[in-house]
Amino acid sequence: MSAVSTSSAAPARRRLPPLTVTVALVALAAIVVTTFSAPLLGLDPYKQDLMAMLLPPSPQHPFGTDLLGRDIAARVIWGGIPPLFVGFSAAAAAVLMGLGLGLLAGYRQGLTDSVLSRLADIQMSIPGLVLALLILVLFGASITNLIIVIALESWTMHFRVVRSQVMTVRNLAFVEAARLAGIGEESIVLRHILPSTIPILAVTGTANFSQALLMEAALSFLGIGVQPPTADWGMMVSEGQAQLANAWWVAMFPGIALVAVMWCAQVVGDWLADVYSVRGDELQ
Amino acid sequence: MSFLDIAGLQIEIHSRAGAVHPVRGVSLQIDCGEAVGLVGESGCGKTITSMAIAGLLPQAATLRADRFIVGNLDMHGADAASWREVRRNSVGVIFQNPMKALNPRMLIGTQLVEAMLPQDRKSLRASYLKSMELLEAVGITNPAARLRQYPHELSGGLAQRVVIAMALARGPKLLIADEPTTALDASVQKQILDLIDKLRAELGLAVLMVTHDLGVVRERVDRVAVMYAGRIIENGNTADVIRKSSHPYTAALVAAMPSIDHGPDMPLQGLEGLPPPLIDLPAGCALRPRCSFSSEICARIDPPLEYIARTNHWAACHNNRGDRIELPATAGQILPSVTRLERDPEPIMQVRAVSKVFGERNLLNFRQHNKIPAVSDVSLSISDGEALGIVGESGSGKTTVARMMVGLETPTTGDILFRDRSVAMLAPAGVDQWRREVQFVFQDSSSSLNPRFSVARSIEESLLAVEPDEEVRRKRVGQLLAEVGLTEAMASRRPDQLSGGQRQRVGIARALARNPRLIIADEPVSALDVSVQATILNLLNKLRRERGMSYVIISHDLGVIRYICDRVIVMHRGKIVESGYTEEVLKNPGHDYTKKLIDAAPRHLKELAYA
Amino acid sequence: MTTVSRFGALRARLRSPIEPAFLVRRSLGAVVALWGAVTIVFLMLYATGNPAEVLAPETATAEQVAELARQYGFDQPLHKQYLDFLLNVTQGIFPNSLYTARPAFQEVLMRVPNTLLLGFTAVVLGSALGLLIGYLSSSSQNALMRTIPIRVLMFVQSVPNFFMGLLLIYLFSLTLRWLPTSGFSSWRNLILPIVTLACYVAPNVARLFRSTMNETRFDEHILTARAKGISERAVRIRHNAINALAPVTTLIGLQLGGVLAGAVVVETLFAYPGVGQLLVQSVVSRDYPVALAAVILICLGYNLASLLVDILVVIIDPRAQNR
Repeated sequence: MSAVSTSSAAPARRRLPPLTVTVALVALAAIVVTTFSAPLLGLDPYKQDLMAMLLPPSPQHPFGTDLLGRDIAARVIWGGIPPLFVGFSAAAAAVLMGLGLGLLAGYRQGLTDSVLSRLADIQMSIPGLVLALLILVLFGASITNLIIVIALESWTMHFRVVRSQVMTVRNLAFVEAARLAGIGEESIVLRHILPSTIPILAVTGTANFSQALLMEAALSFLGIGVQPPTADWGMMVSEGQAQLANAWWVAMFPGIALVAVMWCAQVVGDWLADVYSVRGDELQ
Repeated sequence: MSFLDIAGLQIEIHSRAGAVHPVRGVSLQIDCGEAVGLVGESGCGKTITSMAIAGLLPQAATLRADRFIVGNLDMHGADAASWREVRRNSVGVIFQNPMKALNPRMLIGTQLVEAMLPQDRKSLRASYLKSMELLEAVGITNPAARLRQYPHELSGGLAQRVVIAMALARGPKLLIADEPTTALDASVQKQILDLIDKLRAELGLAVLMVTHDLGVVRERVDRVAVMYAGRIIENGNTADVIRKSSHPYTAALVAAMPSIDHGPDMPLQGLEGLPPPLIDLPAGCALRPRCSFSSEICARIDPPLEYIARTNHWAACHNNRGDRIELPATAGQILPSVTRLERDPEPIMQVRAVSKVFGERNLLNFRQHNKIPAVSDVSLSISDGEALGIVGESGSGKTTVARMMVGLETPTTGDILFRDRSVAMLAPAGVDQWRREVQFVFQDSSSSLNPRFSVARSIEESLLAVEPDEEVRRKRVGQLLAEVGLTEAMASRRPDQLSGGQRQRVGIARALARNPRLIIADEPVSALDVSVQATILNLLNKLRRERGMSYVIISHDLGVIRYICDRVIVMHRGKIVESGYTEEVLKNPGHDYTKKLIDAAPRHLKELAYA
Repeated sequence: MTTVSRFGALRARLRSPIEPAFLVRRSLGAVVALWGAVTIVFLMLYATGNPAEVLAPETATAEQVAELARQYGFDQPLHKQYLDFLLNVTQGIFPNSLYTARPAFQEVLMRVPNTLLLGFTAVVLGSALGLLIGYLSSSSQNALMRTIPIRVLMFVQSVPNFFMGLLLIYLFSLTLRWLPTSGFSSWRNLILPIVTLACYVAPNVARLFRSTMNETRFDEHILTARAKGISERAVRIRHNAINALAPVTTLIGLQLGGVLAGAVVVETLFAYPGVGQLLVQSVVSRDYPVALAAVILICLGYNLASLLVDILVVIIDPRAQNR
């Protein structure tokens, strides 16, 4: 008997996530909550104190101070806002774009599919960061532009998998059976096709989030993303590079924050990929 | 002289779900030059047994046996190196799917050389000559060209010949063939089996033929052992075992196969239910839940394999008294001969000179399908109360014709008529009537049901467009389930929780939802185990009698067609080569291809069984 | 008895799996992709409104800008400009750098060998490391070898490349003083950047290789190979592992874009004089001719590398060209 593709047509087994995944989810939630409540916590990331430059970690400044005497702990908490916000928004936008266009291309096929697929191919022929650099410098490096540019760069990831899934499912016998039952095409898409893409989008969406976050951090590190004096993890690491020899804390703490978020996202993403049986070469 | 001598073989596999016992005490002897069949349905343990003989068990498997002698070597507890010696010198294996059995990235020639003994591949020239020799021995024409090809460039039959050549490259004494023809077309199957017979005669090979198909085994092996739930339950000369089956399961297997000698007057017997899962089996006979002969002792003691003098073979059944088993009439068994209902002279559907060519040239992708028409100038008609069969091999176009009749494909030329009106020109009301009166049952039940939907929801879907009241729909679904022999409890199950037979019943229930006049069924039973096939075919006949429906049955199996259909159309490469009343066509086939199909079909089965 | 020459016997064992149709199709795809990239660059020029302003130095006056516009033909109709642009780019004609006044392509090409060295070595090293750890975690008899190396790699994957580089600098340059922190004066400068880049490639390679090896362990052609009686090691490597390389190679091809992006960051971090660093510098200093030229050349390199990888995949698995 032929096997239906396990990547998403079969319902996921309802298993409880393993301990590491739960820990990761909780940690991620904690970081997000802390970061976005930064305005409420009464910490000032901009306050300079030139008497207190480059102080090592101490009770008053748990993460030390930077070159301008600003409290790094405060800046680390505030500094999570751009990467997390951009990461999440860009991923969400890219998922929606990829889903919509993927459904269109996979379902209509023919010319629509050719055009959209070629578009995706051409899009993928320019490495993302490179294109982002260019666009940001021409149009300015605002948060909105960052989100747009990263979303534009990553929609193809979702497009490909949705398109492939739609093309598989639309030929499966149960879709044909639905047609024979007189169910309209729109209903078929909503009832059968769309739900089958949700699992795989969960996987690509999480991967996209990680990638988007990384790209925002890298762009800010290069000086093309978020601009000073706004606190941003990537930018802070770049600022800290010059002080690395004598004030390691300036670069380390924002870096550790980045690693923490990336690790949590990766653990969750891996678990989702495992649950829905997606392989690595289908992700990128 | 004995080549293989196994007694009391037990295999245990450790999995996450616990310890599975796929083999629970198998004893088997094969003499040099003998052909033995190992028969059973999916999950009975025959493949694992054959793998054990070749030493190809997975690492998680542990093996115990009272005796385990392969080719004069005691292999009980043997290490990997000894097994490699055995595989190198005495045992060759061929597998079910030849396309998967060959390494896709290597040339045929390279893989063939890898299989040779060191002395045969000392130099490039020597290995080349030996390769040619091997390929010619398995009947491959133009071997030089084949050596330079990749597996995906070969057809199934050709690939299987290569696999056989590889297995024989080192001159083994035993050839293990695990379902060697299941993945192949009927006409190719015969060729491969003939080849194995020929090689056996030429080389004095012993052969272990592992298969679920009694028909294959009947004509080719001296002795046959039938396996069920990890044990051999009957064992002896092929003719004895089939003609005088002493175990209910064997009798059911024999009786369940619709062969072309099995006319519409002879009932099919099936076995409801499933073989038990091989974890934590309860005491007693494994067949008991499904057996109509079981008595109190069957629940307590697992029957041992005993020799019965009267039938000259071995069987494991408490109720065995040496008589041939007469299967009782199953409850609700319906004689399949259908009284012709009042003929409505107007045909329900007609196909007129229809052709279908597949192929789209996609401007930017440059992909081009072959321009050979899948269907070429086909005409047929089906009226009320009739059952028409369309038979042919894969690629004959029969499925395409069926799909065109329900509108899943559109013909390139020609016309399809529903109630004398062209389907291409039907108004929405007409389309609705067409959909109501003509329904489709798909071949593969595992992809014809949405794996996320419950059974009830899938069946309900047929009613969504016409019945707005949820309560009414629910009741109707319950009625349909009962009609196809399923219980209410199954309504909330998902497809992966059902067996293949149950899923197919759901597919039939779904097709019945709007009381169609005509059901078109594409290979309705080919994906099912033999014992389950019979139950579905009986269901189809029952429905036909009770509802007066017509059928168009697509199948590659002449036996199925003969059992259900009054008329038959034979298709080959997209064209109709013969048509007429089933009895007529089978008795006096006109076209060569029909003769070939009939030849390749297993016969004599029922003849012997009812002798 | 068939006679056969040594040539004939040899020929029977050698045959390229690459079908011409595939090669043509794929190459055309690369050309189309490249055309698309160049078109996007063209559109970038016009996105801000006045291309002449973009290409002129910041201190240019309005007249100088107008003069530039006339010089480059920006007053011509759009489609003619586009065609001229395409023609010029294919011949390597591009405006000069705003800072060095040398042809932009030349500026970029000077740096290509450095980036090529960095990128190629990093991909090879990262892949090799990934394959090794993947193989160990799927086939090693030692339980520790199966779990620890790959867990380490998984952790490495969550460290952003610039931070990883920073940590390596802190450890090896500042603390241990074994290696220099930046520039390119000797082979020692190569080590940290290559390692940092390799850390991007290795984890996914390891993961995919391990899962492929595990999934295909019981494939029928592996059983057939074992049934031939050849050694377990030959089965595991020649049949299981090498065939498992196919999806891994595809993965590496898909990661090339990320490698290039990583190269941009890593070169900037280590002040390594490659195309990536040039790109960032030119973008920051608004030297658009050089920036655009760098983008075009990066796309060219990326597409070529991608094409080569796809061909490699077909050699390992000839069925890939029929999809």
